[in-house]
Amino acid sequence: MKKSVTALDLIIILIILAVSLLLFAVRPKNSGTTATVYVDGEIYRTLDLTEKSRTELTVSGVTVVCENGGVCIEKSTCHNKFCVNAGRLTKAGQCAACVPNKVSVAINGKDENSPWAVTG
Amino acid sequence: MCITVLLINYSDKETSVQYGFACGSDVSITVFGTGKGGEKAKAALNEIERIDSSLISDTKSTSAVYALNKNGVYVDGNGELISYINECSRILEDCPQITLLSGAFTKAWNIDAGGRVPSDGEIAEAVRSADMNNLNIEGNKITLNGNAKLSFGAFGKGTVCEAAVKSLKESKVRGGIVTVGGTVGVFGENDKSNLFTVGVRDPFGNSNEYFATVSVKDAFLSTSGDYEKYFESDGKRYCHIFDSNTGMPVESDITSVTVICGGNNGGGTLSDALSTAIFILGEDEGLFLARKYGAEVIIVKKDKTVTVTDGIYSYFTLVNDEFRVAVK
Repeated sequence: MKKSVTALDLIIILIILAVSLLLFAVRPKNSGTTATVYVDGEIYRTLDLTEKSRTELTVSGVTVVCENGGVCIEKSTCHNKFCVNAGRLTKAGQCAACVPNKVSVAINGKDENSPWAVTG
Repeated sequence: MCITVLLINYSDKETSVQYGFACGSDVSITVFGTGKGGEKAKAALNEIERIDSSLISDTKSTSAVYALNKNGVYVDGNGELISYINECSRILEDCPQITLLSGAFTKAWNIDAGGRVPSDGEIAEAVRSADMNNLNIEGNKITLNGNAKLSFGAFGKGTVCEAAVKSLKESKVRGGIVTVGGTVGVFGENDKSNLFTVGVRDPFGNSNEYFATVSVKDAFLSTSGDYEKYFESDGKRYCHIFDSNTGMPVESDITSVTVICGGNNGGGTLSDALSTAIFILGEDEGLFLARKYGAEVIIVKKDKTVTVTDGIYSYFTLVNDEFRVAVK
């Protein structure tokens, strides 16, 4: 009678398990837990939104504040303040940009229920 | 083999995002799948920057438009500017309320320095300068009469958005999203399907707030509104969209117009131009114009009533119930 599980089967199962573990280990970090600050499209700093303490950084005339799971452009030297008026970002995929100072902030990933983009 | 399929499938779920600035707006480019997404997004951004800084910007000293406005004459060696002027002019034939020579209005109303109300004489002079007859093309030579200044303000964001989508399509990515300010282009597939949900900004909220969403595939969406770019004088609000017949900022019961065009050639430029034109024309004439081009429209009035054309209504979802929707 044939054995129900051969050594080869075991090896295959182990390989599949190992690959699964590897894929699990390199999976993207949870969406919405980090925000990235860009200066003229280049990554300047990535902020951890799960940090309890308040983080504040100023670059190219723009002050970014990260606090309580959200991030915002708090101050800017620009004239129109559209970036400040974008308000506090809390969901993955949300973005605020200061066009005159060429600074953008975005929460990484995409919230399942949020749209891909906003026209307006 | 199963594992290989898993791995390919896994890598294909990757999303690359590139941010930048062009045409006085923030730009974002999202690419789905097929490896080297980051490089392809960067190449698409470079194409946007090339068109802006070498061709259509009226503020960058490296552009053809800047040289034309400064010298009153420009010899267009490769014909790129003339062919673009011609593309825009064809749309203008249907909506003479917008002009390629709107620089006269921006100057008269001092928009770049915070805005001021000009005298009647200055407005009349600006209307004369904005007349399209002041733009002449002979062979490869473009000339401007008097104080006329060329500006692609009502077209440029749609055009560069379209150019970036074209660049991504040519680099064979699985799908992508390009945003240039409020203009959005989507094509191909995202990580789930070929339908992309796009928010329509709440004109009464901040830039991340939307009052409704539309699900579209292979499309361009542009929005013109009076809620962000305006100035106030003696308690009155003046928006930055001008009627070229009167030289006056548009006063209307409309606060925003979103136009959705198909993803074919010219769709980006057309959606941008039509959103401005419909904002100026108002609902009745505006919807007539949209029908001529097969475009779908979402009009938001200041009293929070919304008109949605029937072709997009079944893909439209209201998420803020302060708004009331009618279908036309």
